[in-house]
Amino acid sequence: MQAVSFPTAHADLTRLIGGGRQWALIAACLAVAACLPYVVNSYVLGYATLVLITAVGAVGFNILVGWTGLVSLGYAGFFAVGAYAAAFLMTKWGWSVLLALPAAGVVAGLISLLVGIPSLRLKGLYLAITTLAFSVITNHLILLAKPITGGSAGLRVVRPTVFGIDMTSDRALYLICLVVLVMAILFASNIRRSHVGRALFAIRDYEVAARVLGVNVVAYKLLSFALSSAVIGIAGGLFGMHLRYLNVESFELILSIEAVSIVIVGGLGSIAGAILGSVFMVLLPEMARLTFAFLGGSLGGVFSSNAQEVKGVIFGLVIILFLRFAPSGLVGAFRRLGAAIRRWPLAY
Amino acid sequence: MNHKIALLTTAIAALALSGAAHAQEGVTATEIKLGGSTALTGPGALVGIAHDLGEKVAAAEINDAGGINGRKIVRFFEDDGYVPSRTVQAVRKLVEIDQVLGITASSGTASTIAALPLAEEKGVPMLQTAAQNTVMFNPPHKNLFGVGRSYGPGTTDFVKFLAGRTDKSAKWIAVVQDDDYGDDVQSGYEKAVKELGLTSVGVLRYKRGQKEFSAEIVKAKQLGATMIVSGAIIGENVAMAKEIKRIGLNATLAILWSGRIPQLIDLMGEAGNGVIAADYVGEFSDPAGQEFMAKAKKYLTADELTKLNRYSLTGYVGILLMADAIKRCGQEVSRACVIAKLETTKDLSTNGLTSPLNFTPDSRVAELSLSYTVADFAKKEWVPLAK
Repeated sequence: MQAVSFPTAHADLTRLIGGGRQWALIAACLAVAACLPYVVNSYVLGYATLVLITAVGAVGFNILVGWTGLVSLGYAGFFAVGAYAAAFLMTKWGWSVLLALPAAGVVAGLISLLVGIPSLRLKGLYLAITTLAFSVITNHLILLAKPITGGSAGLRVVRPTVFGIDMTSDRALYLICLVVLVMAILFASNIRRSHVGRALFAIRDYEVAARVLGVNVVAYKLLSFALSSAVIGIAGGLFGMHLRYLNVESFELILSIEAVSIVIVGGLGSIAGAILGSVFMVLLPEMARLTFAFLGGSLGGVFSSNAQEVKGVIFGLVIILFLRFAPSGLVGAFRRLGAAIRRWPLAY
Repeated sequence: MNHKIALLTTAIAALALSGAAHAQEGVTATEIKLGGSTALTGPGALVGIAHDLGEKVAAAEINDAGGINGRKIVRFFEDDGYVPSRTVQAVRKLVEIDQVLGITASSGTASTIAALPLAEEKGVPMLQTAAQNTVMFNPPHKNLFGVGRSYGPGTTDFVKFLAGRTDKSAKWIAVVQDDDYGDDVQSGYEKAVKELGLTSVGVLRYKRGQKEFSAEIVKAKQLGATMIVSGAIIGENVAMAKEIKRIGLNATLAILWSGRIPQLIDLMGEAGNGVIAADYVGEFSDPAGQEFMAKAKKYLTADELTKLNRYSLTGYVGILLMADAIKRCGQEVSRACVIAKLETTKDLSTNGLTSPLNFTPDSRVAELSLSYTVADFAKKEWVPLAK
């Protein structure tokens, strides 16, 4: 049996990020991320920005799905609410992004209670269907609320200035997204190490036992919905700024399914997994395109002319392969790889 | 630790190489690069593939004739699945990686509007030959040029044409989508009704994505409608035609150009017999259409020929328009020059496929005249109607 070390000190349990090695790795990643916009072209930067935005959303989604164990297909709905809220505040009311993004999170968090309260007794497939219905209803409401959302014509999003920095620059937007991601990670890490996090894990692992132990399951489930949706809503706000145009077609149900696949592929219940999953799934189509192009010949043209179908096939295959061979996701795979390297040439 | 630093340095260097600047704007001594982003997969593929094939024919024809001032056209086409967020990435790739001179295809209204800020930033000329929603051109954008017929005025002309062939006692009704496109169609319909003093029994609005139209057609029957002006696209028109036949409503269905494709006749079946359509591009059976088909047979495979429809003609016309502007720039071709030349396009012939194209610095839409056809299920084609 493999020996595992468990934390024994209170400081170990409440530490935000473990160990000097982890801090060094995080510092290195931040350094690379901060330098990126100054060394790559805007096409690569666009993808990098999309990775950051997706990671913010995935970190939030992980709170609900990974930590509380509530199956949700409502990601698209909360994402859309945040996106339109931020876009409306910035574009129509001229709010600063520093106010509009948190406000978008608050709006999404409050709206999530409309889903959370009726769903308190629901689990598994029933909860999934309820949240799915929320996403569908949200799309219809976006079309109906034309004075606010622009209806089917959509809404152009103005990127405001922040501390005098012109946000129309893709580089500036990328750096804003990076800062928001760091804040989202700190926020989620703090929740995880607090009594809130422990309560959410208890609900996930054994709801009845959690209730017996005095955990207010109702309150913490609603809190989980609200916190998760707030972070997802902020990601939606960033998405609107990235595209500079919002339309209901950007918030189809497939977005919810992609969110679920990201947290599964990355590693359910892990913040690092949410980030790794985002990087992997956002870049997967582009990597596939480059691979096809490298192969050349008729294969080279396949991806350009059949991108969505090929992407759909690849996505599906990846999810199936991960669920079958690496159910703990990329995080689990990296941990096993790291342990194997440290143990090498020993088996245990 | 040294190993990790080496890995990081390599990664940064690799990324830095990807940021190398390119001096050309889609033009070399021998090539001109043009790009397009449309739905090649998914529900919109019927439109996107046909458009792509039309462009392919035009580019091959121009290249065979020596290219544009000696430069051959090289096309880059991306699949965005008709999703605006994907269009933005596709256009970013076309502009940054493929370095195209201009963009000749964009999926639809939402996709065009989404990609417009990026195209404006980079000064890339964009054409929109498949959709003419007012929101794209009002206010006008310097680098966006539309070819076709605005939905509002087009609907007015269509209703006037139909009124000329219809008994004065006819009762009219419009069925439109509940969005800006529907607003345009409705305004055109109401204008024609007012000007001609037609008897309109109402305007019914349906939700985007709606698949079932029994309620609308039953309502039309209750109101005694005999002329139904449809602002639907493809699937909705099929549903309406079948419902009209099912409940035995004696009414003529009139559709706009968005849905006027051969596949629609197959889908409607006998229920589609007598459906009248308006369009700004001709039919394949016209002399101009037959000339296009002869070229298509030369440059396309047998399988590709089966995928042609009216959107192939819009794609073909788009390339002709862009090529004309590029040609007038002479040897000093740039994005700014192409935009300037597009603005001054005057009476450009499209080999009879459409009426001549005209733009001015103040008008970014080349409004084309309409022709009218009627669906013939036995012949499986749209048969021209005399004006």
